Formats: sequence, structure tokens, C-alpha cells
Amino acid sequence: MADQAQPNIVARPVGRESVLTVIGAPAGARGPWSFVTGISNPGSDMVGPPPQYLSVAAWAA
Amino acid sequence: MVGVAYRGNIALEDITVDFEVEPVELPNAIGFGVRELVTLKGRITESERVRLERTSRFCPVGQALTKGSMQVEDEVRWASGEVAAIPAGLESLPRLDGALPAIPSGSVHGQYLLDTKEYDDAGKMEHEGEAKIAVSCENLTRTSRWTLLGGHSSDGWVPPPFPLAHGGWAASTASTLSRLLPQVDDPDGLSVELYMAAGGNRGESQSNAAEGIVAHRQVVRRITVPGSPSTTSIETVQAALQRDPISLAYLNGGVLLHDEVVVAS
Repeated sequence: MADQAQPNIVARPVGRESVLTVIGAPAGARGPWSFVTGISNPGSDMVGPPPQYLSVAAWAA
Repeated sequence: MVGVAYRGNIALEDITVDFEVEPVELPNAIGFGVRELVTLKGRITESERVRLERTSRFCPVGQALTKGSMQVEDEVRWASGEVAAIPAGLESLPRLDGALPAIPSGSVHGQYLLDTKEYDDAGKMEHEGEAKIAVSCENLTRTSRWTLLGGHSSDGWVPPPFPLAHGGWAASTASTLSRLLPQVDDPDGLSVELYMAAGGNRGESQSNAAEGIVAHRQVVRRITVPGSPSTTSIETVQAALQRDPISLAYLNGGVLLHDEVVVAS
């Protein structure tokens, strides 16, 4: 599977307080759907839900 | 559950699901747990409710988070060019000093969007439709809310639940590594990629859920880290992965504190 030209899902930190995740990244696949998740920290509000909430949201769906 | 109800001729008219998310600080815990309440609407018998309850417990996302269905191969790629697979059961992992961010209390409410069901010309259901998901959690200065969509639709307007769950896993992994790897001064050099086989058979997944069958699925997780094996060892990467909340849930379960499926009167 790792021989695929492109991964199905990619996640990268953006700064130190958030992560950008793209689902359906390969060309021709359904998507892409992009999500920003937050990392709780003492300096600022999270700009998106924590990553664990994304998984629970999928469970709810 | 909508697909299982349709195929089983269960008169499910509507459905909502509520998760309460709470931090769990016990030693060796994964950092959070959920309490799930599924509310069904319709003329549903007790045996049908039990079937849908089993379906809820064995849906693909629930299986991944609570029943160890995912078979994960991890691979590390360093910025210096080296690549290595992480073998299972590495011993003498280093103790990492970094602290993981606390997982705040909150809730997740899923509302099925009835009119997003899709039927073919013969009147057979083709796609179960979509759900609107309201997420609410404590934030630094306020309670914050976000709305997501997920489900099954022909045009792919929204992500299906299983890829969406893995998106959360990838994000959780990236978040954890960004906090625990000692050499990640520049988090832009870090990425997490997931490689999976093409989408599975949805009918088979629903059948497995209805029958309480755990279906194992393979995924390759490729982690790109800055530096080289001498600056960020493979043992350090694995030690960090072993503290990631969703990775731990995939490995050991433990996220579901309580669940209940009720029929609204």
C-alpha cells in the first residue's frame, strides 16, 4: 500500500497549535476534504476541535 | 445503522447520537473516554433494537476505536533520506520528557439528515445519506463549537465516516509527535501519511456490523521527521507513538466508557 504514488490521508502541523489534515488526497479519488484541528495550549484558543474529536465525530456519522 | 435498518426492513424513521467526551487521567489511560447514547425513532421491536445496538458497537469506526480492528504498519522517513519500518515490540524505549496536551471535556452530537438518502430508479437505496455533526468543547477562553458533515453520498460532498476517523488519527499522531519528538523545532518538517487499500464494500461492512463480526483492515502509516536517525532515533519515534491517544485506542480499545441504544417513545 505504501507503494501507492500518493497517500490517502496526509496530516501536517501548522505552527505549534494546529494540524492540517487532508482526506482523499490522491488525484482522482473522492475528496479532497481538509480539516484544521487544534492542539490545546496555554497561549491561545484552539482554532479547530482537537484531533480526537474528529474521530468521535466520524463515529457519530 | 441506517443501511442495516434498510436492509433488515426495520422501520427506523430517524436517529441521533450523542457522545460525551471526558478527559481520563488514570495511569496508562489513553487520555480520554466517551459515553455514547444512540436514540432511535420509529416502530422498532426489542429484537430490532438489539440488532441495531450490535450494529452500533461493531460499525467500522467503532471497531477501529474499541476492538483493535486496525492492523498498522509503521514506517519512518527521515529528512536525511533514510527509511525504516518500525518493528513491533521494540524494547528499551526512551522516556520522553514532553507533555501531551490535555483533551478537553465536550460533546459530539450527530443528527441524521433524512432527506439526503439517495435511491435508484427502482426505488432501492443507493446511499445512506449524511449526518450533521455538532462538536463542542472547552477552549482556553470560552466554549467553542464546530459543525462537520459526514456520511455516504454519490457526489462525495462529504467524507465517509471511516476515512474521517482516520483523518482524526493522522491529526492526533501529528499533534503527539510535534509535542514529544525532541528534535522537532520546526514542526513544518513533520508529516503523517496514511496508505490504505481502496474503499471497502459498504454492504459487507454493514453486514459485519449487524452480525457483530470484527473485520481487520490494514493501513500503512508513514511518518516523516526532521533530522536523521542519529538525531531522532526510531526508538524515540516509537516511544512517542505509544503515547498517542488514538493510536492507543486503535491498539487497546478503552475509549468507550458507556454506551446505550434507546428507542424514543
